Amino acid sequence: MTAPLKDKLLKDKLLKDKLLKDKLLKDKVVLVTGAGGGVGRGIALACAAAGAEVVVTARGASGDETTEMIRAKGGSAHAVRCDVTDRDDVERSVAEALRVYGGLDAMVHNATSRESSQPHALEDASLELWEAHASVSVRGSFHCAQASFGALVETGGTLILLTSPAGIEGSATLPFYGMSKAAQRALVKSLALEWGPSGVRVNGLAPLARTEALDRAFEADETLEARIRSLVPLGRIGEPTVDVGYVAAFLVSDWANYVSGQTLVVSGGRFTLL
Amino acid sequence: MEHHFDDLDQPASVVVGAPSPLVQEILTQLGSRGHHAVSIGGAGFNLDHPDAVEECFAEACGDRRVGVLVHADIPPGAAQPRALMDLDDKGWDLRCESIIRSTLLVFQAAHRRLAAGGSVVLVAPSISLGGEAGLAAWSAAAEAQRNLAKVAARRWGGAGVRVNVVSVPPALLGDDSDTEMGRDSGPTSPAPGEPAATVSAVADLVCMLVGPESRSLTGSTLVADGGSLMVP
Repeated sequence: MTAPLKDKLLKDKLLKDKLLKDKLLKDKVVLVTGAGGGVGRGIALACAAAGAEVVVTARGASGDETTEMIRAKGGSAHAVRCDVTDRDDVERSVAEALRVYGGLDAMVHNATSRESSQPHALEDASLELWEAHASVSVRGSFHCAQASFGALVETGGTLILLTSPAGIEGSATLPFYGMSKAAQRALVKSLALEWGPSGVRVNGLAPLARTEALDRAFEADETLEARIRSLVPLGRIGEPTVDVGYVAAFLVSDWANYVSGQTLVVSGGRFTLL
Repeated sequence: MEHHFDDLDQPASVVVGAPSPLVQEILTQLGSRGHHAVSIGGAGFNLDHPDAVEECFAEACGDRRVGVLVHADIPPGAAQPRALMDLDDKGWDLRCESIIRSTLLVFQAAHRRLAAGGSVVLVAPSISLGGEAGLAAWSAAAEAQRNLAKVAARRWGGAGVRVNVVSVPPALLGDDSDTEMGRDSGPTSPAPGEPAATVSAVADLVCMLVGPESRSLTGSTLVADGGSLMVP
């Protein structure tokens, strides 16, 4: 472990203690899609650490693991199987949040396609591959927005879409990923305008984070991690819970009551052009 | 529809879009500047399947390379404002995903024919830059289109192909059925006294972008709305 990371984790402990003490998200109910690992799990853990009751959704059993991690730390979580490409699944997940916890304060749509980190060429990539991206990120956002709006109006809640710097600047190697993330970014802006009069905030979060998929990429290419780190002014790749999850917790919290229509880029300074 | 005839070695300048006033003006201005301007789009055109798009290009261009691609297309009715909560799956697809799919297929088909030094201009609604209530689905599509253009600019620049975006008030792209938006009003219209965005002005800008005077521009978004929207 590097010295800067040790310092960061120490600061994280202090921050986490404060979040726990203050219970920033006390009495808040947060639903996170794709929470069986990576950034989604990080957001679920961070929100739980801040006192939220968390509905952990995932396509498979990995959501159960996240739920156990939260409960093991004294938090409250409920796992629901959910494929965001299926409208019924998303509506059922929201219904579970209402049944188990009595309301919904935040819908965090984090799930992405399993194809999202597979390089492809814009010129000849297939519509089938685009569909794999769009069904989860673009149509999934539509499903999450429609399914949660009524509940969010009741609580004055918030919709958060996980996007990416690739959605802002484009990605030559992952064009469909960038396009789908760009669509989410505009959706954030328009829905913030459309839903603001109903008291619902809408924001985006664009992280650079170390996930299981990135770890696999590092194993396949020993120099990749160093190359990426060299591009990040803070010199490290974001950790899903302490670097990204707490920012999501902030956006969910009442501290962000006047923040809407924004995409927060959480990249250690890697991306500054907006 | 051919607007100008020239020798067969001259690359085609392809304008994709239903025959709206803007598309017609772009075709006219390109033709008047010596381009071999042809159009793809309108009733009967299917831009939602790779083979169909390929056939459109083959029919419009024949054996010619593509020197210029201007994409200014939206499906009929897509520009009509509708709250997101009022959209069903079909309405969402019409206003968002079908637009992204067809733009992708058009860019891919054009790339197979693009001549070295060619130029691509995407004309997209400015609603993706700041968002627009009632047009959330279309704004999402527009930002995906803009991202696609940036990727194309990055990837095709090595072959001398430039790709830029002209961002316009949505009313300029809507068809005649989009009566709720009007053509002279709307949320991005300039205040009285400010220069208006007109089809003629936008067509001028498109022609400028495909010309040699813009050879250093690629991956850019130019907002052509008379100053209503000033992006950071």
